[in-house]
Amino acid sequence: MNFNKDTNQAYLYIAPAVILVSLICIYPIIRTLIMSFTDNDGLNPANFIGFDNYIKLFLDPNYIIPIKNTIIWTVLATVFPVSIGFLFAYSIQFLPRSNFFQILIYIPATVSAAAAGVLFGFILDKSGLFNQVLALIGFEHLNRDWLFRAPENTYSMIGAYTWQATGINMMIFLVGLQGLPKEPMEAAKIDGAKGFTLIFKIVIPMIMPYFVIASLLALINSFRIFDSVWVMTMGGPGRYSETLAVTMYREGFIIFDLGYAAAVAVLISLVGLVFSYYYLKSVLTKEDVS
Amino acid sequence: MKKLTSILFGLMLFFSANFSLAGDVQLYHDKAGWQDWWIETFDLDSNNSYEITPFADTSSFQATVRQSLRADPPGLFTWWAGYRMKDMVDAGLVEDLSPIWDKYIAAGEVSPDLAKAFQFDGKTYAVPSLIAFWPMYYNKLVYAELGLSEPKTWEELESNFEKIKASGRTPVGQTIEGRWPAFIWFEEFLIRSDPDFYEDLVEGRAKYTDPQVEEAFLTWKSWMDKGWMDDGSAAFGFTTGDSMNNSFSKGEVVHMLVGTWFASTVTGGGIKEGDEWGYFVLPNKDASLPPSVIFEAGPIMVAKNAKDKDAALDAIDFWMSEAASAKWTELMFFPPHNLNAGLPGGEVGELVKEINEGGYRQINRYWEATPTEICEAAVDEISKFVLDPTSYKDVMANLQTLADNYWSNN
Repeated sequence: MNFNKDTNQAYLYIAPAVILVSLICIYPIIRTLIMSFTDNDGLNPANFIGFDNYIKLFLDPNYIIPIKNTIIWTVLATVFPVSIGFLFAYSIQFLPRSNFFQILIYIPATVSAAAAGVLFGFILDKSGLFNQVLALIGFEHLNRDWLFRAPENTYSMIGAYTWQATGINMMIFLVGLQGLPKEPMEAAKIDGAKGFTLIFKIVIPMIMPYFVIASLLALINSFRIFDSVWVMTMGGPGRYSETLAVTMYREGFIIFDLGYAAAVAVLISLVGLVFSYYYLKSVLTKEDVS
Repeated sequence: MKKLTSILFGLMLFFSANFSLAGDVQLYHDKAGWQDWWIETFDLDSNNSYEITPFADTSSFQATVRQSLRADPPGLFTWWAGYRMKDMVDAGLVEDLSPIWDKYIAAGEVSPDLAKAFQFDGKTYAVPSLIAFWPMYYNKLVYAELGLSEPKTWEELESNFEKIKASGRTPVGQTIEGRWPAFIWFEEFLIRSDPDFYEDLVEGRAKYTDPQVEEAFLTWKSWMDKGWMDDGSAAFGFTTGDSMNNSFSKGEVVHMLVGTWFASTVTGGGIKEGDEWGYFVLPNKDASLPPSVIFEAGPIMVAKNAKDKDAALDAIDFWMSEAASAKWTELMFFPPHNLNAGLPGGEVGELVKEINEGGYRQINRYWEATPTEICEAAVDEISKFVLDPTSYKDVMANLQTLADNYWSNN
């Protein structure tokens, strides 16, 4: 390895970031990994127990529901925000005063997940706004306590999350659409392509890298969903809306089985790491192409 | 610049005055709403000064205290009684407060029965910050309108429910919001038929698959089937919207089973204590049983490794005194821990008098009486029963699996 003045300077520039990331990210990750092989309860000296926590995680029937809910979240909280975000982005570009609509759709993304959770707690309540609107348009028979019944509570929370997450996806797609070359679009239009044919055969293939980025980002966020669920239902009632991240919190900060909570955290992180790898790969590949 | 310095100095004073007191003894607690009352009570202690730190979030409070107990803990901290404090006792991280209890018991100022909630192997590891009973709150306005009187027997209770239901109201409010309230009616149905069995169950000497548990679930189910209880979906204590408390204050729900610490929230809902709402202790289903009531005690403990341990022990001595107990009762309306302090006024005072004079058996609340590992999972299982009362047999089996897993390893 050759060290010249420029290389040293470069290392010097990135050193603060490396030190901070090591302290704030790498060190806790290593500590969590080590903790996952112990019976740490936050009070007594921890003992090494091998893979017991991981074996318990995969054998305990109580974790079928959180795993199932996490999969539902990962799929739906990716599909809806990304597809609706794309539809908004595509439609808005043809509208006058598109900036106004961009801001309007993006505003929910600026609200904290906890605040949005409280807000939707009221909206989805038995006498909340959602049921009032349903009654107003003649669907009173559908009225229910949306956060109290399973599986409605999981789907309702995904709906609330979609409201928040659509804006950021719309922005990603707007960037992609604005950068598209005009010639292939015009050529397709001359050849008679329009409407959905134009979208599915021309536009989507051309902005596919943005779809990959938006989808992977959404996958990472939805797989580790915690705050919305904790604020709205605490994973209940009866653990029916619990996700893996809520399981981790519950085991760690309610039962104080920190070793077991660490094992759940490692599992979530590993899956997130796989998504992140593909996300970064697609982002970096796109930057290389640019 | 001078102005800016003055503003900063003023802000420092403001925050120090409102959120902590610099002093010798540190107290961590998770009852942020009680902060002013802690300060006011400990202000009476001329020997010590206090740094009182409230935590708004219970989980972060617990994590902070547990993590600090081996390193740099506060001298005093609030916690939960029974099995919730047992792991700290087992780990040898909290101080034995028996000598202080012995002093006050010998002087006839505190009841030795009160210490039982904090005792392990004959030693007492805490003093009470909270003493509460769990009676039935009832709406006196509805009772007057329907010509009802406080029930003395199980039959009278159910007869009242029938009349209330016929008037278009919900006789009993219940909630499983926030998970934990699911155990409230479970323990109540059990103690009304067989309190000895309940105490055996929480200690692992009886099984969740035993007939007594099935009977409790069946009674509960029959009340729900008859429309005497709501579906548990209401929020607990808000004074607006569809919360159980708000429905109670409007007379839509006529009874609630909650700890006496809930009194100020009920009054905050807009109905007057004494004139418009009152208490009664549920009669036993088995009329041959002596009267009993669920009892809850919240502890203050002393951390063994605290730098300010000696001052903290002195503070505990002060806390047990008549002066501190009287002030705390005056501010909080809790039953006093010092017998010389006098009863609180209002409905709570009347209730405590009835419990003391009536020789009520005081039974420890499920939340503290059974191991935390069982309790935390059990409330989710019991919630499943509230969601689907026909599932009681599955719930019983699941509860027993939880108990088996715990008791086989402990």
